[in-house]
Amino acid sequence: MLKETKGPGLVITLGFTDGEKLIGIPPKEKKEEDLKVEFMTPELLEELGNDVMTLCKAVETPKQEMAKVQEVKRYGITEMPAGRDNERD
Amino acid sequence: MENVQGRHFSITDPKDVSTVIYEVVETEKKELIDRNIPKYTVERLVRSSEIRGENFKRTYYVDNPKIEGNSLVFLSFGKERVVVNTGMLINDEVKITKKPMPIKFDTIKTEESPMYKEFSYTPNLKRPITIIDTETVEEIKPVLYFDQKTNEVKGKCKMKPYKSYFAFEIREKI
Repeated sequence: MLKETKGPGLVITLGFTDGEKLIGIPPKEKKEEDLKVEFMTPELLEELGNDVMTLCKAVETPKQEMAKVQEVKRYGITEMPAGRDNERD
Repeated sequence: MENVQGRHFSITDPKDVSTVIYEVVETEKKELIDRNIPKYTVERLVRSSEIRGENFKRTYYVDNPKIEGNSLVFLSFGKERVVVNTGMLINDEVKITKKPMPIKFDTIKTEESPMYKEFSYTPNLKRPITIIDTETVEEIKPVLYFDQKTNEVKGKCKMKPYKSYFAFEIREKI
């Protein structure tokens, strides 16, 4: 991760519940600056050059499948059962 | 800008690892003017999981792929640590940095009852904070209520006592 960050991003902390409250505590082994993660942008992608790799390919989603995804999203669900079309139980 | 239809991609998680991915969403300018809402928010990608031997094949769906790319945040939760990475879905590839950030969290062992109870947590709407249960990787969403005694809107959420949670706050400049 870049040390000097300026753009938008997220700041990480860990939470711990005592008997009554959620308390935020930064991890002991990290400095505050190291807990900041800048969001990726096309410009940053180019700047990082060889420090970036391709994780995997993304393929187009069939409309029927995407309709299912959008339906579950509407209800705030983010875990969708994996379909087993054309397979016998 | 024209958007292509939705895309999905898959990764393999080892047995004890659960990866969740968030998309960074930038609020449209006209909405920023009209309403007091944050400029950036994150939205968890819908995920499906299949058992494949000792591992999990996880598939993530992006329903609005952009020509300029979709910014993503990867959180891989394992035993007592989470690995944070950033990347993009750009055209038909998912790119990530080669230097992810591992963060340790201690699992706090306790004799306390494993029952959930309510904890006070009042979110500050100007500081969007996402809280994740490190065991279930589910988001903890506070329930807002009006405290008639103090005339304030407060929040509470169901959590387990003496337990670690992973949280992050989004800022326009970090």
